[in-house]
Amino acid sequence: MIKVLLADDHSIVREGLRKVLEESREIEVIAEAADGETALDKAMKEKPDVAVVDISMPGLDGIEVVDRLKSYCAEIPVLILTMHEEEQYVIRAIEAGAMGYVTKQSAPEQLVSAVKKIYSGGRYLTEKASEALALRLIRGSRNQGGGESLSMRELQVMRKLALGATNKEIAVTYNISIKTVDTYRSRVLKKLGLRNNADLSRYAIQNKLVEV
Amino acid sequence: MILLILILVSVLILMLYRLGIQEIAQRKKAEKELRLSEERYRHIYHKTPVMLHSIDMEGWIIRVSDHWLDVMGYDRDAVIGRQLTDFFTPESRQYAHDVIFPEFFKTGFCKDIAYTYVKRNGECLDIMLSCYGVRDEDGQIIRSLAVSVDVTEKNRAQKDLQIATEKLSQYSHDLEQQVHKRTAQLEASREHLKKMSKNIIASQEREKAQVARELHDHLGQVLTALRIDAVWVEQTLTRQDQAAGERARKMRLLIEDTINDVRDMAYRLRPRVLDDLGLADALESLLSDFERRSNVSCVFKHEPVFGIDDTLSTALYRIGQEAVTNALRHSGATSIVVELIPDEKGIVLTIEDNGCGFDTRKSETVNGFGLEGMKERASLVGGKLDISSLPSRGTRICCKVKIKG
Repeated sequence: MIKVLLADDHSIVREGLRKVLEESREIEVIAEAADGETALDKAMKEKPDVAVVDISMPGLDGIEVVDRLKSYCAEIPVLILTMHEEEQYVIRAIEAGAMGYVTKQSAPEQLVSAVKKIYSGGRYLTEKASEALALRLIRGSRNQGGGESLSMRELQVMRKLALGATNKEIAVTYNISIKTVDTYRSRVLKKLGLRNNADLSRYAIQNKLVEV
Repeated sequence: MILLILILVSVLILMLYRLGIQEIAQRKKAEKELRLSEERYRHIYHKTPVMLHSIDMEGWIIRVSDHWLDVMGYDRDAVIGRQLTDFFTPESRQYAHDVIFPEFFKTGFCKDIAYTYVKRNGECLDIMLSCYGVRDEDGQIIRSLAVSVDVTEKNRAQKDLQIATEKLSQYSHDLEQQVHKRTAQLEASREHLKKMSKNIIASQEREKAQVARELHDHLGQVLTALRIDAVWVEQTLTRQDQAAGERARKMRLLIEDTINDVRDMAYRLRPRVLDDLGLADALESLLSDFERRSNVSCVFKHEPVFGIDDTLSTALYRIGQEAVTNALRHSGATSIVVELIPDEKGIVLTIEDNGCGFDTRKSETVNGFGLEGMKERASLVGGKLDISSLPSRGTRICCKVKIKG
């Protein structure tokens, strides 16, 4: 059984999440907290295998909890829970040292596998979160180089192309036309000074914009 | 002989007599002519319609014109033989005796002397007097001939004019003071209005944030909890009863739609990311949201900027939001670049697109695109907003704000 600490200030959501976790019969919620301070206390006392922490709580927020846990109990991996869809929160959480990120909206489907994944030492990131992180990464490196920045959609297309997706597949994924995909592709090539898809794959892998 | 002598004498007597008669006739004629000329002169003197008078060397009046008498209200008998200065005010009398008479009798001429006469009815008459001295064969001045011009009306008009001028200058001074005062009042009320706008915007934002928070924290969380159960119900029912499972699935989808609606509403009211993570993250999130919905390439560049307070970040966020919305809606741009960077004095937010642009001089476009609102927001935080745009050359909106400290 994986021992989990569950921290969320909304009791009805916490209750629902607890049910989701325990239904799996592989996870046991050994402690609950309604704010950051309590979460930190209980984490140190109860030593859970995984801490599932809501990003916005009164008092200490989730990101601060991650930060403190990193220094006091670095061995407990943290999975961040959030109501927010914006990738900016993911980036903050990952930068602070969280190992994964699940929105409450998708918790019934993803929470159990996310806990299991980070318990086994992996990271749990959604596609969107990975893209946002990759965008930060490429902007950081390109800002220093003074080159042109990519937009989110350009980066998405680039990542897909780097992983070998066809224009048609990309069009379907993002619900845009094949022609638009091609426009994005040529913009990316131009902005990065690349010639073709092979160059593009190499660039993406070298800059860790995709996980292979 | 004697007879001859007698005849001669009588002829001589006769001749002398005739000569005598002739002489008398001539003298009579001359006398008559002199008298006539004298009368003509007097007539002209009396009847000329100006105020004429003559005095002798002692100041006695020896002749005045009818017009003089008319104006002064006297009969000739009451005037001839009187001292001229009897008809003067005491001041004028003093002036005449002390200054004008000595001067006149010396030079025989004076011009534009200001006197005041007193009429018979007691009224005063302002006079401008000019005169010359009439001389005898030896060149001695024996009397004067003086013309007096009534300048009472003229003087009064002049005085009135002066008073009017003074009044006018007083009015203009007062007016100026009033303008100053009103300007100060206007300035104060403009400041007041500015403060009020600021307060209104601040309280609007506060309310929006409150509603957004309420939606997000309360409704959002309840819906999330509902969805967790709905997923469970759906999974459980699907195993037992296909139709019931389908109903549960629809219920879950409805809940999901509602969650998305609530999230969009809250985001539009005030994005939580602005309060939680700050301006840069909020703008970045805004741009990826816009890009997802529009397929226009939206690039956000930024460098760390410090010292942005809540009011400033809200203002800049709203300006950015408005500018990007405009670019997406009206410009047909394929690329929008937003940049948030520090400069030596503060912070610069630039929104640039490659769209169709517009004529910045056309006020209807300026108002229609909410540019005035953006400018106002900028000025309320002490910033300046510049819009440069040309038809078919894209638009660039640049907002610079100084940061204190």
